Amino acid sequence: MVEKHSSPAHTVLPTRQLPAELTSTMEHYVKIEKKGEHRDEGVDFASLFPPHDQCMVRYGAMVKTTPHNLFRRLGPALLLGVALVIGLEWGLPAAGIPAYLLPTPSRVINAALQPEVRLIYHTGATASAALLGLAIGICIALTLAIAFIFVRPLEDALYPWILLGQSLPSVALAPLLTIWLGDGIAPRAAMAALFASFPLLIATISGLRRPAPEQLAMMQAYGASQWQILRMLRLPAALPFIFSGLRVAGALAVIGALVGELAGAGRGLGYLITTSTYRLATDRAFAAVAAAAGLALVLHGIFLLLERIIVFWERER
Amino acid sequence: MSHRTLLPLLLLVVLLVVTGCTNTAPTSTSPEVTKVTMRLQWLPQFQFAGYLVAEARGYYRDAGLDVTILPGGPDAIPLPLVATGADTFGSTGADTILISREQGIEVVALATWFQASPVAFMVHRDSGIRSPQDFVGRRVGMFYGDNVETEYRALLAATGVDPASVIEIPGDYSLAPFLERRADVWPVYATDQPYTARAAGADIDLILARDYGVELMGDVLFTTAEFARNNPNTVRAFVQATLRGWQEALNDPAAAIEIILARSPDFDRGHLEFEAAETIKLLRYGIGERCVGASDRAVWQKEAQLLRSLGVLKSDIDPETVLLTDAVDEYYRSQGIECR
Repeated sequence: MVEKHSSPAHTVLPTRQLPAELTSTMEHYVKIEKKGEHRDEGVDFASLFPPHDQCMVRYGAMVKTTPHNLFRRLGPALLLGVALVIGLEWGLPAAGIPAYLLPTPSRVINAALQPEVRLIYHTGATASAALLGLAIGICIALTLAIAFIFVRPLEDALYPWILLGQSLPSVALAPLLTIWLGDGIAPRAAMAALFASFPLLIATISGLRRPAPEQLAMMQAYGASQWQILRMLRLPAALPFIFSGLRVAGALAVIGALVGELAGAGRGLGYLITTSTYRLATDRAFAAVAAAAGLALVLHGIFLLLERIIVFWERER
Repeated sequence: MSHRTLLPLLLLVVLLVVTGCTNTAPTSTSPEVTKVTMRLQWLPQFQFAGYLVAEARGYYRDAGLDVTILPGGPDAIPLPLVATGADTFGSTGADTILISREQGIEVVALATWFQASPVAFMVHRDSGIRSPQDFVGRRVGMFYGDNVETEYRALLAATGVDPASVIEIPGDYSLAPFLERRADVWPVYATDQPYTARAAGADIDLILARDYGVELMGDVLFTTAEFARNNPNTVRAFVQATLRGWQEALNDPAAAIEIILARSPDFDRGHLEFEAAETIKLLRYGIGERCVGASDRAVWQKEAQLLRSLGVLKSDIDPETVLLTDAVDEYYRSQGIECR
């Protein structure tokens, strides 16, 4: 059986024919997968992807989180991180680089712990704007994507504009959002929603359109309504896409909130970055940047966890 | 989101209908707006001590006003925010007021705080740059569209330096490029940034445009002509409460600094003390020596002419049309102080 990109996607790709770009690590997992006998039951979601992505999906789905595996995956990155921190701590003063250009990690940690910096307070402000924006963004994206499935003309009319909107530099809207929405959380949440909704919308649309024509035809043959098709076929097929969209959206919501605050705010990590840069307190600015990264990482982690719980079939396979 | 965007639109429509249909001066029966916002140009630092002291000591409340002071930022610019009605009052440069009138934005200056410009051109002492003539062939940091640019062009024109002979480097509010000597001259707020530069270990000198005959002003308090027309009592109350705040800040800068620190604990006390001393010099310059916040018609006239000669203004603007100083004048008259 020869697998082509364009062939109906429901045929399961035999593992021995996986593309040549498989690394030895991948092959290791493919061997494990061969033992599994539950290939033929239900929809094989991995088969909906192009061959290379199938490997990634199966790879991601198969890795069991044992301490050994965890170290294999994170060990090199952790080691590099530790080496980088030590290198900066010793290297920066040795190279005579002033702290206002690039502070040492210990200075940044010290700045983060100073009570007058109020890092937790500012992180909380950014987190609320990002979460509110993310919630609005998710509602908009999912509603629109589902509406597009039911009302095709709506998609035809809106999709080009959405693509155009995605390419607009949202940053330029920051001063206008303050004029339109006033102060407080509204303009920053709006910016976060703007940043978060586009990638999620695009991911959800492609996810909902993922089921193969044969699968749709079968549902229709059994007299399934549009709503049932959505609930039983399209949504389950789209979930992995929705979650990868959510992970991107979470990180972007934090960036959006930050961009709103950088434009001018009385609190939040963006405020901390602006004021610290103005006063050459670069260590504080770095502490704020680290807190923003932490925030994005937490959101990423939450969505990853939710994905593992909700999209259980991807994990069990 | 919809009601938030609809509300201002509705307000605008209502406003247009009201102004269009009646087109008369408001009668005493129409209640004035007393819940107002004040948009600063930057962070709530000593530059804005008058407002911050007035708020903390309850002078606005005593005057029957509910005032919210809002910080400015790189993109939170008072002129558009006030002109569109998003904010009630704002702080901006005197030049902005004159220029905006030419753009058809009807704003009025209610008080002139900085009688002299806070802008200075900072150089490293060992750079050999002593005057604008030494700028030739050097790298000067430039913030395009800012009042800094206006002042820089005026300084070059006044000293006969060809702008083409100077290398301009786009910059922002961070001093890092100057400290790293990627620029030789950096425009700064003299009230504030020299402290930051010295704290970072730089040995610096300041070149002031007013030493070369360029007399520009700085921060003024403004609102829209329409708001002032419809709410004369609110405007008077706000201006006079702010004047009280400034007077206290000048008499007791240390107490004002405490108020600012209570609001923003991340500010540096030494920095604020430096800013206080430098800010007071600008407030006490010229007519401000006797009457802080008063507007000197002659100085405004000179600034309008200077902007005209630089091509920043395309037409002659009569300062009288952008000044609404009744509240300040009345404040000093009531204390028996003659400003001019």
